[in-house]
Amino acid sequence: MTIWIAGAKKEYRPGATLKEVAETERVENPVYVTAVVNEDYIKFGDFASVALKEGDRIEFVYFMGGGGYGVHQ
Amino acid sequence: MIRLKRRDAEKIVLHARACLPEEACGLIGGTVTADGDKNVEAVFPLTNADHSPEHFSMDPREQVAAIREMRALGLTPLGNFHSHPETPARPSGEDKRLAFDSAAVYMILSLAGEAPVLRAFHIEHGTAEEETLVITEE
Repeated sequence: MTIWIAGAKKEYRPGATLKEVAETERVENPVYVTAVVNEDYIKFGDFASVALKEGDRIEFVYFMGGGGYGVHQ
Repeated sequence: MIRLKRRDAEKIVLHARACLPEEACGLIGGTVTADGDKNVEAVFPLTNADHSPEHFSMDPREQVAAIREMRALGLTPLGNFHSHPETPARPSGEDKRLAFDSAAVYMILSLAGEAPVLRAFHIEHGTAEEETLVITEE
């Protein structure tokens, strides 16, 4: 099946799970990633239970945070 | 090397000043050259979901909206920026610990001095290395 990952066209077996795709795409630190499949937001803990479908559009979005706490002059 | 247009650098500074006393954050999108240089073509100010002067986090829904806008413009997500209102433009322990995407450029803007200071870093496995940031006129 054809799916779109980060805007790029990719071929996967029908029914491939989000976990399988994340591993194949070598998503770094996936525990800190939210996957967006079309309009659905999926946390890492649910990746294995999500089977993808033809034409799905996926983005892997990293948690982004931090801050200046503890930086000294 | 990272190239950032002066108007985009000013957009980051304006957003950061508007968010004071809280930290500000956002995403940057652009293009990557064959030799790995990154040209920032657009800056996307986002909400600091923490609303804190010492911490920030982004709302995934805002991140996705910005990433989709980048894709519509033919741009690639390059990384992010955030401000340090009272401290220097270098990564804190928290910045390094929470940098999970080694492909991203991490820009930090300090508003601690009279003039704003913007620097860029590559952060991987908790180690930050400064990247060359060039401000261009166009």
